[in-house]
Amino acid sequence: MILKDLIKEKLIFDIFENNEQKDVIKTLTDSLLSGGYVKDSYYNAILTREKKYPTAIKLGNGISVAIPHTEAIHVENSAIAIARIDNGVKFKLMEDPEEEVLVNLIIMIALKERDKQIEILEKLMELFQDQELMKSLVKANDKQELKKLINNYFAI
Amino acid sequence: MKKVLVCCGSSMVTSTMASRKLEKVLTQKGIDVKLEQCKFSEVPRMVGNFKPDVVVPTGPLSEKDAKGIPVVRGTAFVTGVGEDKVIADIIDVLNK
Repeated sequence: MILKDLIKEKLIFDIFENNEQKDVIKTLTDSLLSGGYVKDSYYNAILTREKKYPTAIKLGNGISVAIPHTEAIHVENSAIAIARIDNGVKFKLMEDPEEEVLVNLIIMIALKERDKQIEILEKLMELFQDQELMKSLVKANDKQELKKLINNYFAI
Repeated sequence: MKKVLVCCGSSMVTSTMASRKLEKVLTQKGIDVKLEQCKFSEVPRMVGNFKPDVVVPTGPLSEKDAKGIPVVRGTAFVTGVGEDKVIADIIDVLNK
């Protein structure tokens, strides 16, 4: 599994509008659906899962990220969809579902075979801990810059 | 041999992140450890079968599901924030 293969240009978004969580999730799941990466059931599975076990995490530097994901049965081919949300969108915290945070980056993880993809999970964890890069992603000037940063990071 | 049960919501994404990190750190510290992963819903059964020394959930886990086994919250392994404290807490429990 080459990490870069999981990151597709068409799955990267820069969202300016004030959106609700479900709208942003829809944009991302639609892109995964039309690319043939997930099944029809994926969208509802993600929403349900987010209600029960929310996925927002607070990183250092005051940046919060959400990592929506669900069971492999809803996935056809592994991929990762990413959205930078300019004005932020509310997600509940993984650690404390009572608390809501404004999330500026959403990394939607669709994994078909978890055991073979530990590498991508470790790479994502390294990304979360790279405060400079996280800041650059959140503050990227435009979609091109966002894509470039993401591609460079995962290209290794 | 110490045993750690790492658990998360349902798809094993965050428990995989946490157990990889935990295994690395505990091994580095010379602690002989065996890790297992499961979903929150499987914790009561796993506590009985695997008999862990500590349960590490990445999100909120009802204490009663752990059936008296100490619980140390492991969300820090996903975010990297406050990781050292959580590792220290886990080692404390394992050394008891």
